[in-house]
Amino acid sequence: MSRNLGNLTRSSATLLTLLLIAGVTSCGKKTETANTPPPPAAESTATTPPPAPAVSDANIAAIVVDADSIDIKNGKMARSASKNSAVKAFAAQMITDHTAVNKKATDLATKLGLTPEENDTSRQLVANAEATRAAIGAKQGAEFDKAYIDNEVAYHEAVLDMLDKTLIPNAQNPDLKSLLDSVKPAFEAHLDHAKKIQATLTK
Amino acid sequence: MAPGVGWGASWSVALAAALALGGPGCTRRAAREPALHHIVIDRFRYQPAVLVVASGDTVEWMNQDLVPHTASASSRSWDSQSIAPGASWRTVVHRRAVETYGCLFHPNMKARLVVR
Repeated sequence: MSRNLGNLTRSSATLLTLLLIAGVTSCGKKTETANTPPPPAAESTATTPPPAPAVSDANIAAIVVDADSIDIKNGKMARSASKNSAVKAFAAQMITDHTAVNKKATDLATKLGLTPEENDTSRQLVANAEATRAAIGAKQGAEFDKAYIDNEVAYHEAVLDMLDKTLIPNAQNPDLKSLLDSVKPAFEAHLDHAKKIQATLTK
Repeated sequence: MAPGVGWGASWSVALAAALALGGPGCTRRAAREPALHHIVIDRFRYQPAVLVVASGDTVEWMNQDLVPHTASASSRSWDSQSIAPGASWRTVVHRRAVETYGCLFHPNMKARLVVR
């Protein structure tokens, strides 16, 4: 991992952004979310030419499956822990939708003979998400709801950023690229939904 | 067409056609034959986003998206419940109104059905 991070490309920097944002809620406070520095990818876009693809299709397949699985696990936790009906319904929706997206992704990988290949970035993504989930799970009541929804907003924003800047541009197989493209509206809708709930929780 | 037969045959055809249509007074009814309309759900959108139909028509929603959706009228006059990916749901609309509808699962999905 350290070897890879020592040689950051724009793509891996973007993925790192995701990891950082995914871990935001593990730190707990919204002020820390607001203080998150601008994504490194945005800076490098302005100063460096686009590097060669840093992630293979097999890596992308693993990242998509991991990203979906993380949100399914978060959703299962919130569905059972929350007492807020809107939060519970949202959590249930995340489970349904990300399960459906994962099925599409794994079906496509099977069809293409593509074995999802974990790399340091995807492993780190999962590790950070586990830590975040543990931190959210330690909270209760309204605090739990806010931590969960805050993380859902940050997480979906980060995944959308990753789709736009890393996954879709680097996908080589046209079917995989098309799937990634069709997944985007789901993340956008979830982000919109999460923000609506977030607005009610922070009042 | 043989001479002498043409006129009678043509008249018969015209009369038969008129009878088939139910007479001149019923031609408007034939023009209002209920139609079937399709709305595709894809990429978290209803397409078309606005559809105008006549009362008595059938509207079918076809879910071509990755995840389940619903088509649920704001007035609650009709509700598809969950439509699985690849599945469809249809209903006959009667109530003349401009009906806003959406997906109960995804609040950002909205569209309109105009029933005249």
